Amino acid sequence: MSTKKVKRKYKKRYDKLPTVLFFVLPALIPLIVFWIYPISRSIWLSFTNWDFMTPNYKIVGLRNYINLFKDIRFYEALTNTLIFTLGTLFPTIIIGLILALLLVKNFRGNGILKFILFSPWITPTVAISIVWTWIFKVDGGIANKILQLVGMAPYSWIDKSSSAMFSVILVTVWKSLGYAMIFYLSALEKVPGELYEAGALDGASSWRQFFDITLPSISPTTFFLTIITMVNSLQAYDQIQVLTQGGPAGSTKTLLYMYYQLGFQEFNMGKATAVAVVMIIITATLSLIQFKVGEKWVYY
Amino acid sequence: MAEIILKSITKEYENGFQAVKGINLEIKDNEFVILVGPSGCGKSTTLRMIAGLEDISDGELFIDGEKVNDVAPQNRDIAMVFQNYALYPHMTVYQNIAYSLKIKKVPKDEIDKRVKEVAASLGLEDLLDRRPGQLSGGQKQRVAMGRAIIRKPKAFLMDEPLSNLDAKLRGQMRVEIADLYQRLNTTFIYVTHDQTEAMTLGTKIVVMKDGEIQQIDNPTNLFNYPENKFVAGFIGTPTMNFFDATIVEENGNLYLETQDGKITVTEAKETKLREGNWVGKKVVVGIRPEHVMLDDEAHCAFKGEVNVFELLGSNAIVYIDTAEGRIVMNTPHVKKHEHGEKIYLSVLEEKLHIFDPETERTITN
Amino acid sequence: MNTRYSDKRSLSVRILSIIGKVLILGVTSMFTAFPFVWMVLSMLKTKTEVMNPNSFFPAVPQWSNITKVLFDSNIPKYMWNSTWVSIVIVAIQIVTGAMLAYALVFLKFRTNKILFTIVMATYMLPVAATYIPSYIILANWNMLDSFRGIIISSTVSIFGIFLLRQGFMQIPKGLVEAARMDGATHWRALWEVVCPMTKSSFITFGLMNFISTYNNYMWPSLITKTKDVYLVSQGLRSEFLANTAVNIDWALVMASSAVVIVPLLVLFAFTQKWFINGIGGETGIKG
Repeated sequence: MSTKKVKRKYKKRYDKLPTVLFFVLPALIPLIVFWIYPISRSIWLSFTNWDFMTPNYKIVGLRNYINLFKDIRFYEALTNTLIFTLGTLFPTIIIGLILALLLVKNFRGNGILKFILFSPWITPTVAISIVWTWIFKVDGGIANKILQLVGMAPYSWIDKSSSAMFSVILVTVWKSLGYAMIFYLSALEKVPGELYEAGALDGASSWRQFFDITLPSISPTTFFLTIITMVNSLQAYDQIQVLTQGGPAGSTKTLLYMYYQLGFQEFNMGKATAVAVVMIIITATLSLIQFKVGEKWVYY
Repeated sequence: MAEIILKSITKEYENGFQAVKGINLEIKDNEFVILVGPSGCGKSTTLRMIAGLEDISDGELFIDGEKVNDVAPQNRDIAMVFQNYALYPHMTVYQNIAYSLKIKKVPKDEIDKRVKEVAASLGLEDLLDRRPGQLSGGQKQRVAMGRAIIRKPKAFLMDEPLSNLDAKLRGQMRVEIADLYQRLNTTFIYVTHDQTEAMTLGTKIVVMKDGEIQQIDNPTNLFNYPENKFVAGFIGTPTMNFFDATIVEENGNLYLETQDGKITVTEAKETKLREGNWVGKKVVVGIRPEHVMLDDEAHCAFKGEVNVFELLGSNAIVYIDTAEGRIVMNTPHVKKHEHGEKIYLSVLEEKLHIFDPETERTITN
Repeated sequence: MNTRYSDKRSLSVRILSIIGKVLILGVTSMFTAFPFVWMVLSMLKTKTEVMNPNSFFPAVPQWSNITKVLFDSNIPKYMWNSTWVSIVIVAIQIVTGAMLAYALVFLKFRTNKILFTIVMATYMLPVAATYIPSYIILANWNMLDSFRGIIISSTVSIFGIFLLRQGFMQIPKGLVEAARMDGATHWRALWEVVCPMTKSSFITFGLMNFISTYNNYMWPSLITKTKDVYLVSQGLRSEFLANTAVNIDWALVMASSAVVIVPLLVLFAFTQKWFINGIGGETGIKG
């Protein structure tokens, strides 16, 4: 039998085309229309001067990017994003890990504690940010009342540019702690018990056990959480919108918030999409690192 | 009730590997056919192509005269029993058995009647409300068969159905499958890697290797008249002994000359050897362990030392190291041979199989 | 002597570690629970009482604040909008997601791997980057400011596709093949064999996406202008802004937030394990 004949019938190796299309298209069409096309469209628009109102626009090459990179507000937003990201990342991961370590062994009340610590994650950010606004109120707010009770000076919270970012970070950490905790809990449960037994036989103290056994075993989780928290921070919007609207004096304006203002308030679509492209590049880089390193960790 | 015809059926994977290389096979109505061969020989792939679970790269498949290459599995009216049973874990035994009828929109009371019938015939009446997770291996096996039987399909395909059972249960289920075949009187195609299973069950055995059919025959013929060295070695336990020999002629008679002695060639074999011009040439000789026997030094074909002696009760297996390599003897004489003991062997001349060393095809059986 | 000494020390260390543990857990859970507690306490106060930081508990619980929110505000309507829109969206996402995941795991076709890579890559991109072009698409289709627009732009959940794919891969291929031999089409095999076997993935998918759609704020707020089509987050915020414009009644604002949050907490209390599954278990990396 000739190989040519086999080749011609390769098509049949697969399931029938109508079947495949029937299963794939219901998800693929929306994916193309509301994900893939918009992303590529955004990249395209970032090279134009479109203002949303007029139907005509010109290709302006890299001008949006040049303007952006000359704009001091862009660097402010970039710095704010960095501060916000790192400021959220470290407390979330460290406290999340400590909580998971304390809660991994079952004890009475364990379930209710997990429930409490995890509950912020499912509450609508907008609703709870309104509550925080009330808590942060400089005069009459409970936060300053508590500071006063413990003998500390009142704080300006979201009212001043020096303290607004800290307040936004506080709310974000409050909301994401439980998520990190749950993640670590499931990772800790997967650490093989024999490792600990071997460690105990070797006479390892609990600190040594933690640093020599636990921490390395959960390092993939830490890594994954780091990336996820960074990607999420980059896309934080709800709490900023409710608490500060990027203010005071742009002190809590992140890249995403800048994108929102440029696009949906100033209708400077070219510049807004240029910011979007910057965000795409940052997220894609982070995700790629996650993907590559994660691959290594999973299969080593 | 179906006649299945495979015409130069080929399975080629994307990387160019051919799992099945243009095989031809005719399976008659109500035949019990066994595909047997070592793992990777293409037997399961062939079965799955008949089922419609694998696409056919080339060739034609006919069921009852209709070409079904492009017919989806659910439209071929064929039932299959899988190696790991593939019972639906979320359904009860009843629902598992009834599922195909439910799909066919058979009326409820009819389904009920047929499920109960099938369950009764397989001894599953008390298990109908259980889920597969609560069943033993043998019970799962019966449910898997019940699921196939209830459809009254054109043909049954079985893919190593007994390989997950322990040896005792396997023997028992083998009898049940044979019994089932008698009762249902339908075409069965059965895949196994276990030649014993094949020999005990089959009326027609297809031996496969490397995607090609080696021989199609009944068990007796496969055992006595293998068409090539592979089949000869694959069928029968302990496996056939092979050794090299040269065909020599002395005083008008042919002999097989080994390093230790000479074996007379019977008349029937002599004709074949002369026809094929084998006199003076090297050949591969096969002899089954049960046709090897003790002899004295003067008449022997092999001299050797006993390596291992296994007593099996009514017979014994003796592993002997000779100049031709390891020779295995299956003997009814259960006198113990010590390790290292020198013994002399000869063979039953009429039971010799002689193979072409190049093509490994049988010259004469 | 020596052993007694070390015993004593380990006991004191143990006591210390227990105290430390209680302290850390106590402080963090108080920190976590406090906004909820304060919200509930504040909503029961009078308008003047709430402004006085020295009164921690309401003198007389003002239940009327809640009835006001329930009967005299738009909040219940927004909640209803969010509820049914989320149910519709999640139902569609489950169907589209399950079908694509089934195709990726059980169907053989040439572009299978490429398709998975595309889905994977999409997962990595910031969704906000799609908002401007998506907005224009909805505008062109005349679907801005409508439930249709909100629904149609959220019919796929990439997270859900991943979650289901992960679950489907645990199912032995033989089961789907057995269903096919039993006469089932791929469609029936998906819903009658694969789906019941991965029930927990489906439940996790449904709950997580219901919550995130219900809570969703940025995208719906960009494409809606009329109060009739507000989802709950945007509705709540608009009520809050309207309130701040005049003399703000924080007790009422807290009551509104509580009416939005408490049902979710109750739902969460009963379904916690599915969320934990979704985060830690099935979607988590193997590590």
